[in-house]
Amino acid sequence: MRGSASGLLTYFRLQGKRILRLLPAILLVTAVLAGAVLLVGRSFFLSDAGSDSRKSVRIGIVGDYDDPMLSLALTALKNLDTSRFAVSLEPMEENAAVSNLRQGKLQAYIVIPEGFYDSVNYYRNDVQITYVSTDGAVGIGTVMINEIAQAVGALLLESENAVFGMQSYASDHFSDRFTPQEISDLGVQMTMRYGSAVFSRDALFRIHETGLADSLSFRGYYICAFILLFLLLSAIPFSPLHADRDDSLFRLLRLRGISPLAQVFAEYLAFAFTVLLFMLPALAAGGLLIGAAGLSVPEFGASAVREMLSLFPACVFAVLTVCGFQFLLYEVFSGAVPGILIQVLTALSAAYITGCFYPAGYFPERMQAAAEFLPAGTARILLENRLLGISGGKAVLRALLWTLLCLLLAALTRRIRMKAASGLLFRDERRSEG
Amino acid sequence: MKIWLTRLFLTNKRLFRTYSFLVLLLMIPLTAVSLSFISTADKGVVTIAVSAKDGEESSQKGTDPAVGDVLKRLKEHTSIIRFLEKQSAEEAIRAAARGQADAAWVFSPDYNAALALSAEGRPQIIAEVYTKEDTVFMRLAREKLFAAVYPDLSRRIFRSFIAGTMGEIPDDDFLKYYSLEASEKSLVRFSFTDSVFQPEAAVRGDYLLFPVRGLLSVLIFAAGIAAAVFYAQDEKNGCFTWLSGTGKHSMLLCYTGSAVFWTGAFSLLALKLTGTSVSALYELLLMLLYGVSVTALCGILLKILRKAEYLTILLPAAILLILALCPVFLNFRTFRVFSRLLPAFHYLHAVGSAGYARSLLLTAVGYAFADLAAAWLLSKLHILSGRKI
Repeated sequence: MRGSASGLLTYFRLQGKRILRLLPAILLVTAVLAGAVLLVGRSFFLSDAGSDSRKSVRIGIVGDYDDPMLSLALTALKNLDTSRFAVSLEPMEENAAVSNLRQGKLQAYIVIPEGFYDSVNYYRNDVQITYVSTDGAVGIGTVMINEIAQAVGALLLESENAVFGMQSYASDHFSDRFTPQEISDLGVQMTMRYGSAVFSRDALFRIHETGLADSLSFRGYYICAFILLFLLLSAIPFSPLHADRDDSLFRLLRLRGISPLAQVFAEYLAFAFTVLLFMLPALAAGGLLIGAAGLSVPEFGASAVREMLSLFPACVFAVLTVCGFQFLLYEVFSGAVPGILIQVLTALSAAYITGCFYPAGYFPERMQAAAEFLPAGTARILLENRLLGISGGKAVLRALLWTLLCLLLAALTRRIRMKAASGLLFRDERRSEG
Repeated sequence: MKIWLTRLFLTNKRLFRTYSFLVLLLMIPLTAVSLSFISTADKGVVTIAVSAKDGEESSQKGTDPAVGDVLKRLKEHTSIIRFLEKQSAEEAIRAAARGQADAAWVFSPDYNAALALSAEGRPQIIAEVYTKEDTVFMRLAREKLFAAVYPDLSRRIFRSFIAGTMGEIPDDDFLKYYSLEASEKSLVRFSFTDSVFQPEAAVRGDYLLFPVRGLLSVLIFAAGIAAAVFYAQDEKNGCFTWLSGTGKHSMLLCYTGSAVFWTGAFSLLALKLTGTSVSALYELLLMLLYGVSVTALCGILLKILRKAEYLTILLPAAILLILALCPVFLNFRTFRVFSRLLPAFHYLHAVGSAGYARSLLLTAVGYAFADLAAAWLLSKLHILSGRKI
């Protein structure tokens, strides 16, 4: 037993030395990775999507601005309509609109062709407004705006049909009372009534802003998400150590009394400890960037660096569980290509379903519950609890159980592979013991 | 030609030697299909708890039919806004406070009366909105609410206007004239700029599946890098000492090309199974161009970095850069110059834009040429320096 313990310690030190040999490379990758995460985070927070959606969406308007009706409608929309706080309408030429749309400066643009007003006025509808967007796959905001555009289209049509209906009723029943011109004027009056109702629609709703209470702010949420993303990708640079397994070495260690379980623990501890070591500078760098960029995070106090470093205790358990899972993947998928690819596939999938990109709330409820239960989701909960100041004992326990489970499975996999590779060796051992 | 085919065969044999690579390839469509299955469940970008009743007093009156109609209209079409119907205002507000919903909409118990007065130009509160933060998404969601309320409001305006100008309209006439259609044509048509495939509606697909193509493009790039790492390790172990410089380059192309090919093929299958693919021929063409770009780019990166360890260092950062600079989740406008260097940028845009398909072709040709030129230059430099190739 003592021999096994000293053998285990020796093997752990050996693993540490292997990692130390790669230390400059790992240090470099951690710096590059942290820089990339910070760059993504900075771009995200300073973009329209990440600015906590207080900014409005931008829509271009293309049309004949000499047309007085178009000018009037545009002025009214820009100055009177309550949508001006959510949607920014910007007149421009079509070339500029196409260019801006392609560059992502506009969510969409609307083309109002010449003769549209007359087409509506005379109920021909043979001249249509064209709503031009990019492919919806580039953003949720675009999809939302497109949905609203559909609703607005239906709304316009309903109003038009109602005015037509009123005029038809007047023609059919009151032709002796109203001349055709007067019926037309009634149509204008009714249109203005509808317009007034639309412009004053915000008065139909009373808004109560209740505040965040015990949930994270948008920025607080994404700080935890980006830390998790960093963790999920941090296993990839360790692939030279773990992706290509030397089964003969493992068999030799087994003969020296170091069981597969002990081997796995020693390698895992060296791996997790190294990742944990680099979390500190990564967190500090994140805090420095947040401070330098002047990003206000509601959950943070005066010093962003201190607040980021205060997440370290949660990072310990997050690292343990995520690294445990990554280690298991390296053990199951051997070889450089599968080893790296499985890390990338699971990192991206886990990051996606646990809400590192789209907020977790975008997913179905059952999916959210399942994702929170998994190692990556548990890690995210640990970070969020720490940021909110919640104790979260359940998440810690779950993290430790996942770590244990992953390591046991890794040890089992190694044992099976060792047996499969050299079944004779163990048969000989048993014979000699017998 | 025979040598090329032999090398390709041997490379693929090596890739598939262990079960791991095949299992990994099968996991690609499996993961995508799982996501597709998950996306069918009830979900939303914004979740609104809606209350049709207001406390115990209303429980005897039952749900106001008009409010019930509004709720039906809100749920009628597939939307990225999810509506949870709650039994009382307290329940709806509690759901919003607990984070189960982003906001609570509580309709007024005097909904009809409020709407009637609003139709006469005296707007009244028809719903209380409780929200943690009044974001743009919340405001846009209220536009949908108004669109759902609008038919009721429109009928009242219609009736009120006629009453004010011509006298009360009988119910029969109201039904007849209100449902008249001025024209069958819609006032608005939808279009996607420069799109190869025009939509039938403004909204296509499920938002949870939008990033699938982007994530698969990242995976294909990772496959190329991983194969380049594999090649570098084999070269270090002396597997190709018998090959000339161009021979080694051809082996590298076989390694990266094979990994990219198989990952790309299974990615195409994943796109088909999730229903996010467009025309089969167009998809094949785009994937081919993307595969060529990635293969060439991975070759260039290996020639620059020289060591497998440096490639594995680069990979996570490269993944993040692709996620940041390419339209996978969001369309960032920063660093556009660098975006255009990434094949994934052109590939992802090319699905909806013929212009970007052309730029993807140029990218593929450019990177292939650069890779060949780099290989030629390196082989010449080795000759000049007298080193064994």
